[in-house]
Amino acid sequence: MELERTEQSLLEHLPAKNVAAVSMCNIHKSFGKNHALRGVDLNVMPGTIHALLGENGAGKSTLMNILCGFYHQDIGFISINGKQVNITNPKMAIDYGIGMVHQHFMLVQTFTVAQNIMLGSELTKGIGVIDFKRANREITELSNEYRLTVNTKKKVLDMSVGMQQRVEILKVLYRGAEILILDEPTAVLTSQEANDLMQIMRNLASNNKTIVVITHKINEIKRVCDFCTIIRRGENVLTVHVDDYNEQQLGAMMVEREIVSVPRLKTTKSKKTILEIKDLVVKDDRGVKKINGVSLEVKAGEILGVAGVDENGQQELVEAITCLRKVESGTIKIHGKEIQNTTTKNVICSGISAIPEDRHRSGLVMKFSVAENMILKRYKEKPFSRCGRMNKILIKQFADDLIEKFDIRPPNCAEIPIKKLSGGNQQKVIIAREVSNNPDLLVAMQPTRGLDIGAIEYVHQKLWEQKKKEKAILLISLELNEIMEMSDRIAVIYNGEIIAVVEADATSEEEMGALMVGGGKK
Amino acid sequence: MNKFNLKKKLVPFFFALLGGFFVGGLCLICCGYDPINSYLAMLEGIFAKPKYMVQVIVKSAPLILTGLSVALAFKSGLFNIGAEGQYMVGLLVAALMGIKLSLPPVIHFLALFIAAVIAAGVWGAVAGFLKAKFGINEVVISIMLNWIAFYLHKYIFAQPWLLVRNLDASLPIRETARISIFQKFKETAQWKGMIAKNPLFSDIFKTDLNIGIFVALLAVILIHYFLNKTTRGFEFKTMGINHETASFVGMNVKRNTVLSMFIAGAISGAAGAIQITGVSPYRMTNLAGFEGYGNEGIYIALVANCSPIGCLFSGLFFSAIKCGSSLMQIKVGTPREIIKIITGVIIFFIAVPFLHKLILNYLQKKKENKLENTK
Repeated sequence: MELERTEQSLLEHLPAKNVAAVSMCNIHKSFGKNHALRGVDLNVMPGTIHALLGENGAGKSTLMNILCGFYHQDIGFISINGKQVNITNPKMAIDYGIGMVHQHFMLVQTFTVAQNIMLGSELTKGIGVIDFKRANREITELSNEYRLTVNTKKKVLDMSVGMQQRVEILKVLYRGAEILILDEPTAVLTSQEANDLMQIMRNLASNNKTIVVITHKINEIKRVCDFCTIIRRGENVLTVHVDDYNEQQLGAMMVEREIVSVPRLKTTKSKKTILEIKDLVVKDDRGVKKINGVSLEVKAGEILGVAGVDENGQQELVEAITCLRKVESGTIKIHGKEIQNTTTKNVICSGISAIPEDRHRSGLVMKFSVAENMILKRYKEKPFSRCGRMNKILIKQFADDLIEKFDIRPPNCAEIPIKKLSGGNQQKVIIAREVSNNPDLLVAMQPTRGLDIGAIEYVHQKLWEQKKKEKAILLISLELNEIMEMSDRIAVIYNGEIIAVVEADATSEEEMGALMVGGGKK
Repeated sequence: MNKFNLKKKLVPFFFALLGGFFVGGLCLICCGYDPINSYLAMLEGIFAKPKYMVQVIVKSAPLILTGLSVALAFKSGLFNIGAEGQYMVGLLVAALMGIKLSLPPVIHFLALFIAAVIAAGVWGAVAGFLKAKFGINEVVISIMLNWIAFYLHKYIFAQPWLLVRNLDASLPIRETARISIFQKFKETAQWKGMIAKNPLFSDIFKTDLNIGIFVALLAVILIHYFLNKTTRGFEFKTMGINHETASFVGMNVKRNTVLSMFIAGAISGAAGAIQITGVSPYRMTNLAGFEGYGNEGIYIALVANCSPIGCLFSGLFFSAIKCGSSLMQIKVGTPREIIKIITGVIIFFIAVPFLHKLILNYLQKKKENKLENTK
């Protein structure tokens, strides 16, 4: 019923004379037994920014890979600007003016911007002599036209992630793309870079480029997108005009349930300090002071949020607490016992668990099974091992138990390699492991990075459960919303110093934003 | 599921094998030799007589052990290119103790075996320690240690109290330290008669049959158990795949690095010890270059995909083509160096893991096309 209404409202918004820039009709695609797409329709109007919203594994990327010629659909047809086409390889997609900016950049680090952009379509004069002058000029012109402000002579390795992304955008524009597909473009960006990117997207759209954004960040969709197509388990639910819905409604449509933001649990006025950091100084690998005199306290039953822009010492702070990095001076105490510069093993035994920032790099062993990953911290405990001999049966039972308790999918996955699980479920495995040994302090670094909204909600609930159990939680996140929503108190880290600690109820996003860039510092 | 996995692992191996012998055959044709006869002679050299088969097994023992040594280090994320040097240190210590010590049988061997294993283990652990402490790449250190071991061997070999004049070899190790089976029996008159009557026995007794293969088997079983069942083995595998996760969950990566290199060195040292005590002439010889057992361990481990059980079979395989190539050279005149080409191609095919998939897909498509055409 609601669906009809939206379809109608969508039609009202569309200028009748326009032909869709991209029209994908009844697309089916299966990989073996897995039916990834089951009749998806997508119509993108020229000059608009169109979001493709869906949970991890909903089929967004598959759909776009079909459009770009990486896969071929089983059933269905595609038309570009009203003309039916059959895209069989990526080269053809480029010829039709379709360009994709991947989540992971494909740039040669030691090449300059111009060299990277020319790669594969080099301008030559004479026989095989590259015409750098002309290329530089053309690329600079292009960059200025869309206000990308990229210096074409700079090497990619000297550029920030945000600038590298612009190079990628420039690359597809240089190849004459009229339809740009951006895959999770803000996932790797800082909030400032994300803002700039959204401005660029607007510029491009006003220059009559068509943009399709794959994302699961609803607030960004609200800010820049015109239309939004929601895909759920390989079927498209509906296409809506973004202005007609609020964030909660979009989120609910994506996950098929209402997102209820649980009201923050009031802190019980606990006096018991779990973690106490005093005058901490930590250097990074190059010997630069990354933490410079930080003092913090986390009490039982409290979530302390650490807000800040990336690269301000968050990483080093967590590494110091978990004894993965040497502390130059200062103390870290848990229950009044000093733990700095001991071993990670000792930290774990003292009751500290941690959710790492990068689950692939330091949280999981991707080739191991789910059960092996779950036992990683407790394999030496009885009864999982006796006299150095591991008991596989008990370990599997333990894993099965956690899989059920933490709702990890697919069920009975204890012996499957963890790399076959989705990102959200991998994160659940980490949380299950880190929470199941009942730690007094949980250090969570970016616990929801790269997760879809359903999984984010799940992680937040687990953090709240810890809080309810009177445990202390140190939450470090680059997402200000997350910090604001979850924390009782917020510490702002800037340049390796805590420049303010505020009550979450008594602050605003604006104030936090100013503090995070050092605005509050006297 | 298990069966399926095994098949999946073996298919690329057999493809590599086929590829190796195919390319080897092409080379033979180019050089004007008959590949089919050569390969048949090689097979004959492996299976024709019980003597040959025993020889294959005897020669496989040190190869299995050095392969195992490299495989274990690989499993824990380290590249033990130093197996050669560790082998040499094991051999050296075993030889010295075998020549100089005077102990009752069995005990003599056990004493020198343990000493050789520990010495070679320490030799390996040096690389592990420098890596753990200062982050120096273990490959560089191991290569340097190989040369140190090599010249140490030369230096000790040149000592006058060890050398037999006019022979260019050291004194033989005492008989109490030897591990050849039936050695004593061969010399008693009663057995001599029996051997003469029974050609099968006499054949086998001509070889250097020794207990080395049982040492290798035991090592394979122990390492297999260690990697799959023990907590320490679990730590090794974890740090082998992802050492950041290993340190994040509180494993002592540095200590394990040293330990892993120690065990790897010890296994290589065992190979050296059984070689000098098990194979005649039971003497150290003047080396012109590396003997190559350690370096062969690298590709044995590679072909075995670093599985201990796999090392057993890949060690046997390479020992077999080595032994078979002797008869090939004698009988057909094909130079035995061809096995180096075959080995190289096999390693190449194994190092390109998707190659067999490409070939399989191609064959599949061809089949489908044929089916369509017949329709």
